[in-house]
Amino acid sequence: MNLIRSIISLFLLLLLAVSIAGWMWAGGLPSPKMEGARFVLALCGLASLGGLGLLWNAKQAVTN
Amino acid sequence: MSTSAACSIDAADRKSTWMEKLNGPWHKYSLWVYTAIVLAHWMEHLAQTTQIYVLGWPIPESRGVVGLWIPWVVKSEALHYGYAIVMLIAFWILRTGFVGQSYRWWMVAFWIQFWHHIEHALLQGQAIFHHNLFGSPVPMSIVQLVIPRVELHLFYNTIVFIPMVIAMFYHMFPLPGEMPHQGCSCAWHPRMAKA
Repeated sequence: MNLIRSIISLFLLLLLAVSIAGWMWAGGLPSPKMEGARFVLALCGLASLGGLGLLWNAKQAVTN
Repeated sequence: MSTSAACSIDAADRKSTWMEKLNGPWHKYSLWVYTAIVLAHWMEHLAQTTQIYVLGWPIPESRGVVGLWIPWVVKSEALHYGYAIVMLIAFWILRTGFVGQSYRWWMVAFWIQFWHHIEHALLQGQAIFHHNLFGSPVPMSIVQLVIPRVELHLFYNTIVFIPMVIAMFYHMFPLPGEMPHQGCSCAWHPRMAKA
């Protein structure tokens, strides 16, 4: 289970890195494209972090 | 010699439909194929963003991997629409194999992809009728009015992919109450509490 979570997490971290790279790149765009691009890139980054949270906080079964 | 009058097919002998097979014994393989297609599509988007954000290429020249050799592929609205509709159909067809939490997350991904597909359908329509909306020189979708295309579709793919992968994770590692209801072999093993 942790192996699968780790593989998925690597991909989500890659998405987060792309979001950050995009945020930095978008600084060179004219308004309002810059704001629009940065807005969705921020959402991508937050979604990636949210996905990581969901993965690693998944409830485990309670056995007797 | 005895003859049977009416012959009734026992439920156990009834042949499964394609849908039942895809969401039953074939569910795992279907999801593997589906995942491979999704990841290949992701590689294209990630390659494109690397070309733009890291290598600093102009957007028209940033065509992913396949687009470097076959440029018309990236410029073709039909290809993008084709992928969107295939993904939407696959979401729908493979949904009944999911149960409980995994089903809820799968359907979240489905509805987001539904909107993503609508955006691509608008683009495809403009390409077909050679008439762009909103007086734009290029095909334009609704949210694209405020968000640049590359970032917009990176966003769409992200918010579809994450609930999809969460659904798959919960499907592979279901909660104990959900596992008996799965009719497929996708579950790896029951999640166990820490000792």
